[in-house]
Amino acid sequence: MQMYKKISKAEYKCPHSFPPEVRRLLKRILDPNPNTRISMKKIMENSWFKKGLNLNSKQMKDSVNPDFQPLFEPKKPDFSHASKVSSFNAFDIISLSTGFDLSGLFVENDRKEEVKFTSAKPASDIISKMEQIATSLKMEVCTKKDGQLNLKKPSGSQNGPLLIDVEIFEITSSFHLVELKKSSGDAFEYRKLFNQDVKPALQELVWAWHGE
Amino acid sequence: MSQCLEGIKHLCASLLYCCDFELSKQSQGLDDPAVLASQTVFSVSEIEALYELFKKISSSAVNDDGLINKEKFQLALFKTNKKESLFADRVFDLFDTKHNGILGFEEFARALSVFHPNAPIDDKINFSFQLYDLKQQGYIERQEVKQMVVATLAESGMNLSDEVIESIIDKTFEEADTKHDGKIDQEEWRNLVLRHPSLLKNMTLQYLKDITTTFPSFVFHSRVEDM
Repeated sequence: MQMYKKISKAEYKCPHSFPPEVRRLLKRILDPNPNTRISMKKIMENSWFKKGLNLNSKQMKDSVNPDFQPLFEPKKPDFSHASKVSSFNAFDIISLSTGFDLSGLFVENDRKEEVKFTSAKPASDIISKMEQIATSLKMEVCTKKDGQLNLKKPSGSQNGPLLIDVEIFEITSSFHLVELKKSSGDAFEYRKLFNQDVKPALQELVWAWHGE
Repeated sequence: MSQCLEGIKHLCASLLYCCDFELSKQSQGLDDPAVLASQTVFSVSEIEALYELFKKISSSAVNDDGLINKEKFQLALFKTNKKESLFADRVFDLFDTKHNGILGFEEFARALSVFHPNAPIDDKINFSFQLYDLKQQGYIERQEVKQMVVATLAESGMNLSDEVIESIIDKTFEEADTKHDGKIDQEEWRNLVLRHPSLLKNMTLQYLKDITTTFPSFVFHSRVEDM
């Protein structure tokens, strides 16, 4: 975790033996921003890099292709933990339908313990917003694995701490489905927290609340 | 824990019995809960609680025949009878094993039994297969899948382009249609679901486990033995 933070801030130290031109080159290579990061072509043109590089040898000619950009084409930096969320197949989408969800026979919509919403924001935005909400509500955030978050709020109730599971699924790269459910704790407390605090805060992410 | 609840229930029931004789007459509609209980995954008290739910759904100012028609079903599910849903129709049709357009308590209980957390997974797999087999041909066609995906997306307000929808379905069939005949038969469905158990999520209603507390039935049975 610390390592990722350092990488994203480009916090590193070069050994003392590194000459300044190497440090300069390294600085441009290890740039966390792909838009300002040095390109392969420019690396090849760098004076230090060219020292000792024998472009005439056949081996080099074959293996080095300055136009070989695509391999190092900058991808959107995604240092958040949810770079890989599980994706939905057609039946997953179908099972979202409210017609197939018989829980409506038992509870009112606003009393359901599992809520879903679709979002047109990228997964990393959704995760950061959830973390932000959790922190403001004094909840502990534990990331279980890619696309899944566990929020914990210690509670005085005899049901133990309130645990909320958040899971993000990719429908397409521009649409995600977010599922929130209470995995343990007091139901009343969960509903109150959700309706008063969590739901309004999530509004900016939400494309549509499921079932409404 | 359940014995404790049972005890409290019987205590309340006997108190009510003393106060109001009428109450015990209401259960006359439910013939013999033990029979249904033995044929489903429910216990006798769960059947009784389910009957309370059934009565709630089937009662209506306009039509109080003690049965559930499609309109009442929609009302119970969506809280409005104005919502047409391809899926609710399918579910209703599958519940309606007598194919007479109405659900009696027996059909209701037997169908919901499949949704109980303790129901055998094969029952859930079969039910869901029939649910998705819109034309009831014994296999799920690509066209049926597309129809359902489009209907669901429309419901959730998501507009995906036809291209994107086609590619999602392509991916799904690639994985599911192992015989490559353009359809998903029961065996292929079974294999898909065993690999992706989350596809059966809707086939389990946790609420059924707590039904005796959500729908307590204040009927006093002196001879009923709960397993």
